[in-house]
Amino acid sequence: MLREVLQGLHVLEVGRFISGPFCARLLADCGAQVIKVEPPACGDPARAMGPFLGDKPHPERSGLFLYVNTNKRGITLDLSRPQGAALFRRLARDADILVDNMPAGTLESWGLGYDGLRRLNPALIVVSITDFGLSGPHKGFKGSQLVHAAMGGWMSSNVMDTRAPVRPGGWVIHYVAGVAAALGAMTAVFHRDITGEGIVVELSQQEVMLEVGSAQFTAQMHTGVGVTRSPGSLGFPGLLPCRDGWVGLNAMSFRNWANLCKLVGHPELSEEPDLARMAGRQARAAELTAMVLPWSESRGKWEILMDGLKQGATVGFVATTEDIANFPIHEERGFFVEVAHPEMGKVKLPGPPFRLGAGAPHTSPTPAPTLGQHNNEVYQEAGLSQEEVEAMAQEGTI
Amino acid sequence: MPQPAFRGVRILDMTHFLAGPEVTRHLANLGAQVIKVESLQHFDAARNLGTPKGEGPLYELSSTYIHYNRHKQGITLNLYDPRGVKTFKELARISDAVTENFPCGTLERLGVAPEALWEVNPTLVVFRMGAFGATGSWRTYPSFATSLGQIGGFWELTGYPDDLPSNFNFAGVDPINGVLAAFALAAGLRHRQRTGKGFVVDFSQLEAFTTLFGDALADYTMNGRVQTRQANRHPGGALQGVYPCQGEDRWVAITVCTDKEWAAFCRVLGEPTWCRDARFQTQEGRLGHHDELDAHIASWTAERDAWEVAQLLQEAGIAAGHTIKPADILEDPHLSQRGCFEEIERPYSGRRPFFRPAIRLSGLPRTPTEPPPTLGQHNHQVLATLLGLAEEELRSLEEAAVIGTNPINLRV
Repeated sequence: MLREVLQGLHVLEVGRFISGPFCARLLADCGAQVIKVEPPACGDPARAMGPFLGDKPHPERSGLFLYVNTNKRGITLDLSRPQGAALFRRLARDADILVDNMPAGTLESWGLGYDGLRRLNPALIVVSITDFGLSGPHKGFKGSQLVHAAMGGWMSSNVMDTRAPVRPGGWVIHYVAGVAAALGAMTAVFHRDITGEGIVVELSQQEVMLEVGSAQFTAQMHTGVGVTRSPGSLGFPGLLPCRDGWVGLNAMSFRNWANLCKLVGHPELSEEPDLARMAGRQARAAELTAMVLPWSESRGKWEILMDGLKQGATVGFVATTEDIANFPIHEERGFFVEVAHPEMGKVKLPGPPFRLGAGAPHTSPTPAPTLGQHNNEVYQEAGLSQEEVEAMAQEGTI
Repeated sequence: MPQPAFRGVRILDMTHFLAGPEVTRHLANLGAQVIKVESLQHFDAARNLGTPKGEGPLYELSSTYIHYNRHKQGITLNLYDPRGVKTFKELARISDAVTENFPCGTLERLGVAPEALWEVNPTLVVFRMGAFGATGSWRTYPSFATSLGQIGGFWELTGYPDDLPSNFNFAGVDPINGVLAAFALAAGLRHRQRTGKGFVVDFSQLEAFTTLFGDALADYTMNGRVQTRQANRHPGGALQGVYPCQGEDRWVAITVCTDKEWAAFCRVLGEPTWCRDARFQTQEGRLGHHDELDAHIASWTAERDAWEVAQLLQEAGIAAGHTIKPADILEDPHLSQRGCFEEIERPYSGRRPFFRPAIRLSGLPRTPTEPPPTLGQHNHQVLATLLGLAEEELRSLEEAAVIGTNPINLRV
């Protein structure tokens, strides 16, 4: 059912790296037909970013590129050449959605500004993701994971306040921007279904970061105290060592705390009034930790997690990618999908982030395109003859 | 500032705490009518978080509740009372979606499981975002952001390699999953609009969050490598770091990717002798001697203002930025000029600035954000206007505490 949501819609992606491509991939998960446009020589820079199969850098062996570009067709096109730009206009005329995460003003500099494209195709939805937005004094600023973690406000609430703040792990920052863009795109599609109008969805990655963390700002404006940095989470409740790793003995609601106390063999703690609230527990952290440590150290992380879940204590453990790939619940729900790539063989990847229909099985995705894989197919669909396509290839436009 | 893309869509919202209300906040901001359902017996537990000290109705002063519930209407309905369930179903009959983030089994116990709701409205989208999904042997287990961040891989990959895993104090997983779940709900609404079908959107918070680590998981499934945290560095390029500046807890983040950027970086620093060190002239060299390089850079930044350093570097074409704190952002000229703030007036909490949602839909009008509802604020408006309940019916529901505005058995 998921693949029916955007069936029949055509997405043109001039995406690079993660945010734009992941946005288009989420739309592809929903059944949109995505054409990914890459520069002819080197392609999307994600092709040069690991992890590579067998650790050998190769443009067709990046696990990152594979993951964020499944279910798409790929073409190459040099948009900086007039012939390339003209061909792009032809593709944009037939598209429903354009996803662009190149630096602000890049398409415009090639004569492919949003206004012009929307004059050609008034129903076109444009999704623009830039580092700092399309206006304002920092419009031309350059972003990076670290810059967005800093200027997006996340670092100011990073724990372990004795060291320099760190970015969130993996590429979360870029994935989140892609998700926000996909939400914007889906919203625009819903609006267009009713009105027939296309719109420009504008996203500044800095603002996406700030919005995600903006509960801190709301707190600051209401209480005068925003969320700040703090020491690490070591202690009870919090992170404790167990036999084979680190286990999170976390408590939110009071019922939760009571269940946690029972789990660790100290039900009497939940009857102490000064421990009913988080601040009281923090004040007695050393004492509580000493009480619970022997319990956690004599148990394994899986044993603690499963006992906790069964007893309504919201525990966790610090899971590695190996743990996650082997979670029984993922197996049970068929969360991972297998993609067969011509260069990389079969690779197991997370499936789409949700399902339509309770427990609906995921469909295996088609692999990310090799560079220019669908040139002939896509350009001939756009009305070019075989000879024209060959001529463009000859001159290096595609 | 809401923009009316989802105008005409009505969402009956049973979500509570953070992750769920964040989803419907996004949809409310995009123009949907969101009717938030609480009860006098169990109000949204987020109302217990971020409250000031003092007397009075503190549950109306929770900055957490206020943050996640802008532009919604609020009603109370006791779903342990058959009249409450009946009224809920009448609202479900005229809604497009029901949203919930309970562990599975709660809707079923209350008599409002998807099948029961489809009896009154076969085209209803039932959006279920329990921690572990709508099926499977974990479906009835509760969880929270902290635990999900741990078992979702976020903690293992965040922090220093020689230290404990790290995390963030802003409830990270919930608002991150909130964006993903809002996308899922929007997809569900579009599919319903086109097909006229009702169905469950099965959103497992654990699964959704895990999709943000697909590349790290590919490294394991392809190569057997178990990635771990690497603080602010990345094998793909150097230098990358967060360096101390003047003032308390003030830092500047810097990313230099190419040799050209490295040359520009050295020029900004005034070409000190260490910049000419042969080992620092290539990516590999900088990666291999990163600690030494960091010490030099930190000694330069430590005497300077973080924002000034960031500006100097940006002018030279280098990605750099200062760490922004909540108290700083109102003063930021870029964010002000882009209209990132909106003041909202609300009973109890007064007039306060809020950060505006990031999605901007050009050409669609922006309307002022309605304040988050006080408990049961829209009981009469919703039940009289949408369901046509008469004044005496409302009074009788009030007398039975099925609806009302004063919580019963206030819990700490």
